[in-house]
Amino acid sequence: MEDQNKYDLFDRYIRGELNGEQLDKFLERLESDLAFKEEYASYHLVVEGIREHERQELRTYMEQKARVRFMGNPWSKTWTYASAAVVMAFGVLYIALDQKNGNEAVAVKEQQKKQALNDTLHEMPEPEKENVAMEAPIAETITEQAPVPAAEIVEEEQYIDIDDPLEEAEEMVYPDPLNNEGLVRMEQDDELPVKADTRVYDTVVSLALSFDKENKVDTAHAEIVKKKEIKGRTEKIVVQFWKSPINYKGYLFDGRKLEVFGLDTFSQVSLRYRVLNVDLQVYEVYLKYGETYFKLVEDNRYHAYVKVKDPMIIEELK
Amino acid sequence: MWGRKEWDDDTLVIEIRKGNKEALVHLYEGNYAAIRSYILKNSGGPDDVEDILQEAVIAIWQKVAHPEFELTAKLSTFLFAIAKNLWLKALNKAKRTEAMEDHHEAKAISTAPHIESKDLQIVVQYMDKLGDTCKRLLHLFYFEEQDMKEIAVQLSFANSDTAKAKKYQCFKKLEHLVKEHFTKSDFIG
Repeated sequence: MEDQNKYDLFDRYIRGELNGEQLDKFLERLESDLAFKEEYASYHLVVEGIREHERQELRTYMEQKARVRFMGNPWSKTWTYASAAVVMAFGVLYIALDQKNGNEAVAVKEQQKKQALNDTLHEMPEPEKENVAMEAPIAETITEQAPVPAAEIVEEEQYIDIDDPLEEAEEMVYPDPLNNEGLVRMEQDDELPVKADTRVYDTVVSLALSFDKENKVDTAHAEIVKKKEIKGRTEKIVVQFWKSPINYKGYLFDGRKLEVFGLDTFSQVSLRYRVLNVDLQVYEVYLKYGETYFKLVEDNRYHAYVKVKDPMIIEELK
Repeated sequence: MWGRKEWDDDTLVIEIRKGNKEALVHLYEGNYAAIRSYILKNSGGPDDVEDILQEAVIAIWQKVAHPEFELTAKLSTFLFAIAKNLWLKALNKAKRTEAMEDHHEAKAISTAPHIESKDLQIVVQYMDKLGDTCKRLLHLFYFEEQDMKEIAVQLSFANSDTAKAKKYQCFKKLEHLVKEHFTKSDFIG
């Protein structure tokens, strides 16, 4: 029974259920009592093994069942280009076959014409040689319109360049915000210049994140931390102000870079955050413009500004 | 995607709490593109995407299964944030980027003994030698951190005391098997 009580105590410790004096006493004993320390080490190894066992089972399940892993993203460039290549190959094949059929039909018609002509000529005694000479150009025309040979189709396929986006992974490089003078983002076309977005100003904003935990023991990933911890880190976010020729108002945010469109008074822009889950260190980022707050969606896509209306959230962000 | 009907967050939470592993696949597939894009843009490769996404999905599973977990944002937001944190940690560890942790972080007093991964693997092997009820019971208690009351209901024990006694038996059995493999001194890190 005493043994079971000891394991209960260990259980309570790793689940963060020991507080105050109980926790201090436990940690003190762990440091001073070698036998207790050995028992805890044995217990801890088994617990971590149980957790690892479940992790491995879940991982194996995902590897076997998740189809994205094996097929890749169906909307990726690779798949798009591969699909395009298949469609083009079929297209070329179709045109070739169509042409071949057409030529055959032409040949049959010409043959019929020839036959009819010959029949007529046979009925006429003179001049036979001239009529024979007329056959040559017809034969040449048919040869010139021969169907595309298979080798040419293969060559056509080889010209299709299938980029593998997995090999295109590039380091995220941000330009120096202090050395930027009205950068213009546009796709240059020699014949048709397109007026595009202009980057007018860059700045870097530091978000000092703090995940306060009081009287709680963090046992995630076997990392046991003494109570009253303040965990935090600083996230540096590059904020780029863009101007769109169509006066687009919105943003794009990927967690490290924020592209802002349609906000002209740079000095009125700042960033705020709201912690959603302390253990997981999950937080939302908000953009403050003047006295208005906008929630930012961190998914690297363009979004319109969505104003925060909940007074509780606004109060929290102030 | 490809005929797999998407589950909304409420369904995912319910299914995770029921222990339905299909929820893992939904989370994995539904968030693959976003996580992949983030990691590839931040010095990672395709293998990193799989590792990080799997870890993030498992972390979500573990958290959602916990009875005290409350859904305060979209699961995809949670998953993205976890994946991002995991990736930044991995980058820091590999010294491929400057440390993001700043001086705010308090000094952690670690009392956790160091565990070699090969030792962990021994325990994993012996887990497979336990019966299904023992395995499930130990998973629910130590991995999902559910309380005994819920475990008793899930595994059809008479009450939480019975579940607790069974858990102790299972744990001791596993520990005994593992101890047979190691000398006592191996347990001290």
